[in-house]
Amino acid sequence: MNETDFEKRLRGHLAAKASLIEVPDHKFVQTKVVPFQPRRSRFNNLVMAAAGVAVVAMLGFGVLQVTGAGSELGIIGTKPDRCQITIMPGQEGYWLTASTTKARIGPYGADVGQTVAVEGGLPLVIEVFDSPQATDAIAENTINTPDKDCDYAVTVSEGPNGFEVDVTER
Amino acid sequence: MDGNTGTNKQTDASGSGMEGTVTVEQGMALNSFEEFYNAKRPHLVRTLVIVLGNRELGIEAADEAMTRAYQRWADVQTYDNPGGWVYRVAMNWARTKLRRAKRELPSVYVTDKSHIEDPQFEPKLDAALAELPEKYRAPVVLRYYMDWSMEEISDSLGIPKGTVKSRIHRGVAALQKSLGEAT
Repeated sequence: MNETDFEKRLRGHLAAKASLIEVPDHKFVQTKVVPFQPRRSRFNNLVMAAAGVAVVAMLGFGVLQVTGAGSELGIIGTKPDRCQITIMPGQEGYWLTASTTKARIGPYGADVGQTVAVEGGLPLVIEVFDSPQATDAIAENTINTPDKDCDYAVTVSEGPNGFEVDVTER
Repeated sequence: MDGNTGTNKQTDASGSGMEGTVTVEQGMALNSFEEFYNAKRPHLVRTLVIVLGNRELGIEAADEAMTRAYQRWADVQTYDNPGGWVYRVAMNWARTKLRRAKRELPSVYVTDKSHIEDPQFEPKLDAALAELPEKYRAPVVLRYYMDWSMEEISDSLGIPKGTVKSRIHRGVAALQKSLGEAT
């Protein structure tokens, strides 16, 4: 289809306009949020989490698959320019994605350093240990962002109001 | 429309394969997503920023949609136009966000452009684009920036191909009229 001169100008303008839009380099890192390994020790969980981090580091992009029946996975997208993570429930666990909007802070969002109690009634897929091992059901992963300014530690644990997700900056 | 179901091929993407050991197929799919992400995200972000008129919203919408594409990648990768699906999900997410926020966001169209030296950038055309209603701006941007076919635009916007053609024609005509160049 032949384009008119105006259409060609429109193409050129849009290309020029697009080139002015800086696209931040966001990375997706899929990692393990909470291992669902009933009645295993905390040591084993941390070993699995550490293995997960190692795989992420090795593959670079975040194609981590943790082996083991019942493993629950989450996805973490880090935004090095904002140091902020949003947490939302997903079909396979809690999907942790980056957020740039302060307005998103709420039941499913967390600023760095903020602890959030994930409310019940949601499609909870994250599983924790049966008592008395509940307190052992903690997994901790560190997500290293490219600029080293925003290293996150994400901790998921069972709290009085449900599952608590801690996002702290290292 | 729910942002999670913005496609005629959407099936339940329960994320099968998220448990247990990694199979070769799963590994290939994940590699495929990485390629898709790296190849499509920059254009997706820029398209959304131009269509939505807000940088932060465009970036966040793109990332939300990419996350959902990742969750459903086993299905999404089989679509004729995965990029179109992601665009549609991103736009639905952004519209919901705007509706809930009930506020106007600062527009990328009103910033000072005096420093822009690219001769192809036309300030008056940019202003006209800003005034163009989204239902015309979106197909115009998808056609003349993303270079998508009428079929791809139709699929991603969820409107008939004839409507796409009509909106592009009217959108371009409106831009020309704004510039005093109506034919």
